[in-house]
Amino acid sequence: MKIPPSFLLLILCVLFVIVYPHHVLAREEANTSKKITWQDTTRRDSQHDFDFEIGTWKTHLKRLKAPLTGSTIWVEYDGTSVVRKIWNGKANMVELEVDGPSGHFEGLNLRLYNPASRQWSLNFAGSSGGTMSTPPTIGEFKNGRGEFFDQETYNDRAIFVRFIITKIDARTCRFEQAFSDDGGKTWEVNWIATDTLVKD
Amino acid sequence: MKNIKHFSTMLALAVLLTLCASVTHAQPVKTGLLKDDMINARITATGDLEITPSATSSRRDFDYLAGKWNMHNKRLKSRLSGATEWIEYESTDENVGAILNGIGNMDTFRTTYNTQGVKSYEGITLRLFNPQTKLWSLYWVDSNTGTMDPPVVGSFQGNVGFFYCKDTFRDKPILVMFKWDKTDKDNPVWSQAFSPDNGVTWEMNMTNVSHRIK
Repeated sequence: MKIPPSFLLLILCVLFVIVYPHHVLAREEANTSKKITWQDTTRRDSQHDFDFEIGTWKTHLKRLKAPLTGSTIWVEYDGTSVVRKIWNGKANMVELEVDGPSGHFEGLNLRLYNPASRQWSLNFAGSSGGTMSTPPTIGEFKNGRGEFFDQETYNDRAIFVRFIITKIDARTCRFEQAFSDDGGKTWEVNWIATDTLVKD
Repeated sequence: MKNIKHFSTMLALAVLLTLCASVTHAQPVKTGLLKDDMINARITATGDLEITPSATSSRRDFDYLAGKWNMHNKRLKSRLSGATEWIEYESTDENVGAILNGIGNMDTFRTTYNTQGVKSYEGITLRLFNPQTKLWSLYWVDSNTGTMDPPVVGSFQGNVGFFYCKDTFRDKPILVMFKWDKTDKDNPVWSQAFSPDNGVTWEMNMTNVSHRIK
């Protein structure tokens, strides 16, 4: 029996209709987990850029006692940083707890990934204040170095704040905060923390 | 043939039972703009939102939230438009307990319901108690945007906490209120309401009951 070509075409059409929507659905399913349609696709998806820091760390902290005053007196602390994973890595929370000759210090930092801008915001609160210090620093990692910036008021002056996170090796990382009161021409470092991994 | 008949009778019965269950389960929620006094908060003559702490406000006021929860949520289909239809969905929540030297706590919220159409939806609430002002600030973070909303601020008056902030909705100024009722510590009730008239009337647009997972 010879099958007419029109019949073959019909069967193909029916098959296409049956099979095609499933392909579309499957693709949509796949896309929803990393929906990127509205995003700047020239930028890297960096939602896992803080994964390296999840765990418990030993922290050594050096803090400039009076930033932007010309003072060079540093105070030192030792303690721990516990970094908790949230939203499968798209957010995390650091709890810093340190002690030193000038007292006890606790802080928390909630890092949040913005999927549209593909940037991270670092939201800090100290245990004495009881509110988030605003605004957050915002930025991203490039080649193992994260740079985060904001503009805020310090001692009644508008300043720039820069926070740098450097992965030194798998078990060591460094945090450095600096202020600039000349629009970013010069920076004074006022916070250096070195973390050593205790457990993942 | 008899089997099929039997099966369809059973199916019909099952459908009927499910329907009955959902009807009895659905409790009526008041909709629309209702008069409600602001508690420990007021709008000053100059239009500022002034929030004062209750006499008993304490850093321990959210201790009851530590643990894991199943939640039943209701969300008004549209806001400040006279809507009366609620969308209901389930969620889970985990609160890690006290953080930051006992002045804060944090929880993560997860549901499959998402207004943005993406599969899952998660949130973070960070609550911080200011020991100087004795006021709580409740910060909400949405996984769709990854940004932190300005906080609602307030305190508990007895078993009910009232938290407020100014915001905008469709480019118009509104007041936002969160209410936490912890009368039943294992089944606390949360709700959110918007006021379009500086706190005279309020429309509740979201509420949930948390059930402690023991």
